[in-house]
Amino acid sequence: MAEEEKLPEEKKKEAGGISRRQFLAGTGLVIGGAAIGAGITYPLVPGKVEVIKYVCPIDQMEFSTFAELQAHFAVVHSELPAPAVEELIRLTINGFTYELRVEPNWTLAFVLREKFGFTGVKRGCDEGACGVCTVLMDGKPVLSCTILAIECKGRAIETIEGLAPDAVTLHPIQQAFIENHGLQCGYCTPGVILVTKALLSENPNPTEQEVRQALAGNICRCGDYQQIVASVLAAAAKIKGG
Amino acid sequence: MAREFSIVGKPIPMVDAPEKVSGRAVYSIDDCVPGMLYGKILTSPHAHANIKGIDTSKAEALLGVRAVLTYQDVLPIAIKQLKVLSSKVQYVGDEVAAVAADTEEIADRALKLIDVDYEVLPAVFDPEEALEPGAPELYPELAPGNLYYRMSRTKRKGDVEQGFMESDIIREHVLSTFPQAVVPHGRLCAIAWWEGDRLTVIDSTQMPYKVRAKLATWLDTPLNKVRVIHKFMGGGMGEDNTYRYYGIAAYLAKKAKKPVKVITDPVYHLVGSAKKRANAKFYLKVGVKKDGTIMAFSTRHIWDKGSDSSGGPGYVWLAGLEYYECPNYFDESFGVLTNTPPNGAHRGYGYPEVLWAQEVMMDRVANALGMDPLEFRLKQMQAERSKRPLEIAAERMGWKDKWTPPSSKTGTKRRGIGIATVIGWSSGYSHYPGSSAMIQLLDDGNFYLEAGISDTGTGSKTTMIQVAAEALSVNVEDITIASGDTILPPDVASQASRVAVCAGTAVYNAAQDLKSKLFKIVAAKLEVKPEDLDVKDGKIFVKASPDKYKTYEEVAEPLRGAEGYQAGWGTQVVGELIDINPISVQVAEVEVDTETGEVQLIALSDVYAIGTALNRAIALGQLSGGVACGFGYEITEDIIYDPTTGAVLNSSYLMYRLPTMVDIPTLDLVLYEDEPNPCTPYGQRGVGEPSVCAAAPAINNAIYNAIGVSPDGNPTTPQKILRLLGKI
Repeated sequence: MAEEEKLPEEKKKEAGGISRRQFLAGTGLVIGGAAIGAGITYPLVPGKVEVIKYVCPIDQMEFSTFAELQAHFAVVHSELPAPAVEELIRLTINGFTYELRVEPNWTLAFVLREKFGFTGVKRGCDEGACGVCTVLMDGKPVLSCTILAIECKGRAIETIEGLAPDAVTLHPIQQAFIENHGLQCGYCTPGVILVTKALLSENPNPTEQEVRQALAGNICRCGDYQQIVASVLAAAAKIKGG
Repeated sequence: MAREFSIVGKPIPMVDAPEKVSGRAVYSIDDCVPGMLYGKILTSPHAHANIKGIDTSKAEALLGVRAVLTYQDVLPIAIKQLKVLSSKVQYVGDEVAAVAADTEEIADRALKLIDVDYEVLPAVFDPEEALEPGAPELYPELAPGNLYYRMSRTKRKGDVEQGFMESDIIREHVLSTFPQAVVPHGRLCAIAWWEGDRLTVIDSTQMPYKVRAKLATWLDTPLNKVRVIHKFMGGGMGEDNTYRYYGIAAYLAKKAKKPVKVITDPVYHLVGSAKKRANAKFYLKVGVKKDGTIMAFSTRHIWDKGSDSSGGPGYVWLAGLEYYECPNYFDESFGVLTNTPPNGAHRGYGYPEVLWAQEVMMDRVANALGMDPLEFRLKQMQAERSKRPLEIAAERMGWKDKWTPPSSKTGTKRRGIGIATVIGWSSGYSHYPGSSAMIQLLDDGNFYLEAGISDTGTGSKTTMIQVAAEALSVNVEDITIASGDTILPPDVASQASRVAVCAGTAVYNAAQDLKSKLFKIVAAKLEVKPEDLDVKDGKIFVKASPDKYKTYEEVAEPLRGAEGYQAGWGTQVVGELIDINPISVQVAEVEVDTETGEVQLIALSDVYAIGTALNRAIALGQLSGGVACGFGYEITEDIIYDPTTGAVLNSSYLMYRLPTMVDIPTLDLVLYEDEPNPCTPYGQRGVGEPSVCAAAPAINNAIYNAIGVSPDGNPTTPQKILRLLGKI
């Protein structure tokens, strides 16, 4: 993976285009047994001459190739995970196409919130236990805190911000939640509403039990569960009623 | 009995619901200010240790690190245990140091580069062991022998020894509760910045004014130089009174000379909130006559205050002693410091613990007498007001048909029914002042309401608008509220079920003040006396001839030129009247699987004597939330400490089981609008907490009814049930 991603920059370099960029290697995340690095990139300035310089974040030593930095890590900072490079991904969020260079350990939640400002994606337990970060990926609910952005290439993501048809009108599900008091503090609400949307698109007439099963992964510490169930059933009726 | 109002009581949707359902609600973790750095906190791996040295040089050398904070940067203040960072750590998870960096990732990495030299000290985790001579002491000067002074008191009435002598049956039990974690969703996070000597902090807190006071103390800054802003909050439930993350944010911002957003980790939140509800141990002794009359009740309770004596309940007595009209009682309570997270507040502030023990004990005594627990409770009560909610709840759940003694149950899966009744508190209008509000009349006849209360998600912005709209006789849409900011009229905190009562009174008084000012102006124009006027549907009219009136708009528009802008001010003061407290009675039906030890809640009824609900749907939400929290307290949640290190072993949300939608059935929630509270304008009582207290013991008692035994301590795990049944 890392090898492929170096290609565009290597090519640029060969073509004489050089830009100055710093690379910060980072804490690792172990996936499938292989440690991959993390870090922050400063965006490329289009049309500028590039000088590629890989800087060790621990001791500020400079290297001209990424492989040299990796080797330096293996020898000098063996206690830390090896650094890795970012990758360019393209995804659709709420109907609009976005392109971004992502680090391999960036979660989808991180990218949606911190890179694109979709703070309706809530940050909760960071381990897939609470459900507040739920978004729809190709129409299915997923926990964006445990999915890597790099895995979402080409996918269609829907966040709570994309639900309402326009800035003034709310979606019938949102209306049903307001009218039926299906929320208190509101922190679980975006996730709950997105799961509801996925449920109702598959099953427009859910029973109470089916609603509870669908939402079993969305914790509401305010304990508004029966009001949420009532809201989902009211939303189903609203959508059917046209 | 319920009084009808035009707007009060109506189940109108929450005014901020559109922001919440569309993802536009901004919680502190979502917020940002220009130039902001990211702060992270290093916590202690030891339960008790002196920090002999901290080497931050490697962390400081890391590219992107802008400030590293240790106890050496923190100003000395008089009370040691309140410091933001200290040279002594008192529990696993205690704050040690903090970093501000360009990104969260760099800050996290920098934490790993801080070298701390700890001198590990002996630690104590069990409160009874902490009281023994020679036990390690947390604060030898402030709390010798680990005894926490505010908590160690006695309360007595009548002659207990005589009462026991006159009893036919005496039962003794030792019951204990576990420290339920608070963990509302909203991540603990604060953004702090300085402009000269002025500090501003954005924090999703339920107590902005208390946070301001703490920041002022910690940073030695006058109150008028500190502003705390609450926007939206992912649940309050009491927990934030002992945290220090916002102080760390303020110090980091000062040191880095840039805004700093401190983002805490979920484990910080879970461990830090794990002791907010105390683990308490109750030595109970009750004497009764054969006919069920309680003659004497004595109790000694030991409360684990954790490692910080600054927070948490002061003194909590067995709240039912007066409710049950017990003639002789003796109640002795000890608060003890241990090397565990600080005790604080968690939805109920001490009451869920005592009421659990009290209500479980009541059933043990009733069972010893062979009495129906409902009849046993009713026998203790004289007041009709205490009895009626019990009768309603029992009737709704079919108690008479369903209750049979435990000995009659057979089969693998056994059903049982249990009851618990708690008298709550109404946020103590009569002893807990501290709300204020202001209402401005705008040029077009609409209103702007300012109140310092912070809406923790309970809908208090909405209920306060309802109070104001009712008092001014206008529509809800005519009023906009600003709340949760220390530049607004002050309010002590959104806690202790006090907002409906205390802030509700302040808002009402502000409306009355504004009306009296406007009546004077209108009276002059209409050539009548102010007392000849009344207001209805936005018109200030002459009572004797209602066609003579001025609308608010007609009054408002010319004010700028003549009498000037008008606003009403209202405050809530200690009154002479005594609250009539709310009552929650819950009847639970459970099914216990005697092979697996699992408990399923089949049905539960909560009858809540509320006086007047300001918004019935919002009040019902408080009931369902209270029951869910009480269910977690009894069945799913648990904190497991490592007895050798004092670390929380299940410090992750995957391992700390919060109740889910499939755990809790649709509940039968009843707002019993009985006698209005004489202390409040519309007769309202507090509603946030008492429902937590009744749910857990009602479920425990239902388990007892199903299988003839129930654990002496919550939570009721399958393992405990199987052990009680002799199966493991």
